[in-house]
Amino acid sequence: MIKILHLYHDLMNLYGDRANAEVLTLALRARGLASIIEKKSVGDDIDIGAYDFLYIGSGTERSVHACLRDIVQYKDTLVERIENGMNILATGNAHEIFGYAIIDADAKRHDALGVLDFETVQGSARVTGDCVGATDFLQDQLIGFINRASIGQTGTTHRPFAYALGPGANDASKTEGIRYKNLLGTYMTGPILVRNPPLLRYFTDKLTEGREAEAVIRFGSNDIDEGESDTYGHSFFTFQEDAYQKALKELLARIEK
Amino acid sequence: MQVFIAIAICKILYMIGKLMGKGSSLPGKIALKIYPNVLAHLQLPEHVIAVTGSNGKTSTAELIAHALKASGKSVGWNHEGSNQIEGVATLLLRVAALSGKVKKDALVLECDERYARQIFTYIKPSALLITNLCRDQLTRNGHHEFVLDYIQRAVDEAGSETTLVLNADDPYVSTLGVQEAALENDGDGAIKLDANIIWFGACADFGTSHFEIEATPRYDDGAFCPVCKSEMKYDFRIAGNYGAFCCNSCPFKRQVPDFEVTKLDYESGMMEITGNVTSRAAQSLHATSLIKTHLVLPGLIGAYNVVAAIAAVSTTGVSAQTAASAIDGYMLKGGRTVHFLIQAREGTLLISKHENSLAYDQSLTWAVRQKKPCTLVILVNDISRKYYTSETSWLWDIDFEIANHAMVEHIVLAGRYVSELAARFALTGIDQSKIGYVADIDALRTYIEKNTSGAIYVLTCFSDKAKLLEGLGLGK
Repeated sequence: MIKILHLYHDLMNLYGDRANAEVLTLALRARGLASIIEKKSVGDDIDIGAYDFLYIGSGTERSVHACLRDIVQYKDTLVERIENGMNILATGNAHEIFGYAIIDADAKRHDALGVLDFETVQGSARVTGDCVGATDFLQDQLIGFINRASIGQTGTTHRPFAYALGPGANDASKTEGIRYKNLLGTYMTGPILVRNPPLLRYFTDKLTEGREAEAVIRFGSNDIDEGESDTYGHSFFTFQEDAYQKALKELLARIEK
Repeated sequence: MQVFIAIAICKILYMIGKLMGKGSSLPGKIALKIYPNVLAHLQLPEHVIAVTGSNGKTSTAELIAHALKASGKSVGWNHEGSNQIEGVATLLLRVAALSGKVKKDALVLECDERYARQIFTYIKPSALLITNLCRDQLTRNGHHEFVLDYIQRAVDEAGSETTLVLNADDPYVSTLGVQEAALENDGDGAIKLDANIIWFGACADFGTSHFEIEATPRYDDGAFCPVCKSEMKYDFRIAGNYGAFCCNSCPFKRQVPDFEVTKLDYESGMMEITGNVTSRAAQSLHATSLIKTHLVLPGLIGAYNVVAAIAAVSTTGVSAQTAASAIDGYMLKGGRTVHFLIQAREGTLLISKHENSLAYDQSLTWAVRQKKPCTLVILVNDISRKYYTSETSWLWDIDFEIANHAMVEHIVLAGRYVSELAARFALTGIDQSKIGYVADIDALRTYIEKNTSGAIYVLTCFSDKAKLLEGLGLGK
């Protein structure tokens, strides 16, 4: 059983983010692997090292600070697990918590986990827009939407996303995000694993590595092991691919204009 | 002289625009260019009711304007203009004499939540109604707390003379009545509120007794206190994060409404509003203890609009009972719903704002609640009028699982974003043999005729309304 932790599922779930955990279980199931999503938040007793995959979504600026205040208790375990290759995805401003600090719009400094060398500066306006671009770990381009109040990041951390369209982490650059071992973070918000079949496959591959399928599930057919009836989700991947291809085409066309 | 010229030009441009059937924010825009300070020179009537918030601004403003007119007042209302400063300027300069005196007994100003502060720099409302705050157009608005900060600045700009009319059930709106500094410093659990507030809300029974539909909300913006970000509890919930909230850590909690919806019959539209006779506000505003009225388009949001309108109208000295009588049976002109027939099958268009999950949830709930075998059509073609956007995360905030109901015989997903909708529906657990996919709107009518049955409920946004009606062969 693959254990997925949707951390701060209520505090950090601003843009339909939870779909990322949901479609990951669907994709794992298509590979014949069972998985479970556990939702935990502030005040819960969490054995954070016991999970195979950790997901955190976007929150309001005030919510990110509340998230920081709580997550600090898991710092040592998290750092150790990240070094050992734990799969983590942080979308939107959630990835900011892995830097040294977040400086809020009133210039107040809030210490963060300090896993990677960067700091984030929050502003009082918003940076929004569609984005499309390459990464340093996938062949295909990714699409998404950015919606944040942060105006810049300093530090030496390598940024894995390079956009042809859309705002980078700083005014001058078109790059953003974090990647270290199996920790991936991006300013792209919402269900990015729904929008990007290549990214969903990337994480599914990571999680299925070295595991044997428990049952072969052919979605939409009747020959499912253990007599399990399954109309649920069978067509998801077709629709997902179609939506991705169309959106990619539309966004690339916008660059040419 | 500049005032005179700006007003005169605005009036002329408005006349020309009216003849050409053009929108009406341009005259105000030009007048503001000629004399940016022109609004500060107007002599306003005693009653200026400003309306802002995420949902229900237009409908609530219309109800207020109607109730004021019914009580014999002349009313200026920016119903045909934009709700940003240009639209408000167009209205004000149009109804002002060349001297700058506004010749109306009352003004009703619908204000965009992001631009209200700018409007209040010049126009100090006598009452400011804030309907609610929810996830709405996040590509533009960021998120509800970001908008809340804008509205807080608007409240500050309006000044302490303005009576706030606030949604007691909405924790975010409720923060606007709290003097935040006092809240933080006060150790004894008391909460310090601004002096002039009228609260409206709905009671527990109203929420629970009508919700036999199993809702599985996709998110909870009421889980944490908007003031201190500690966990928040609810004695009861009405919908989403509306209800009787109470912070576990700080003294922030729901205030007792001065006007409260105590009954709503979804089928007949009959509703009852109870004035809290012990509240200072309700007493001084001549609220009788029980007010009955009737909604033409019943629904949760509609009921909130009515109670909010009655609370706002009562600030003008018109009694709550008089306002309720005026609203009784009134049909909104805004065109939120359209009725039609396809092959003698009853059809209803339920306008639901794209990028607004609460609006969709309410429409889905309403459709299922009709208890008729039905076909649901969900059309998403243009999210933004300006350009294509890949931002469809809001589809994952909508509780489409509500449509997993025996009465829903068919679901038709339509428009340019059909695959995004289809991907979302693939995770609802709804039997996929019920679902049809129609990307081309022009093929929609034929598809509905050939493949579906029962009453037809169409959910889409204003931005897709014209194309939909064309696609259904119903004209524009």
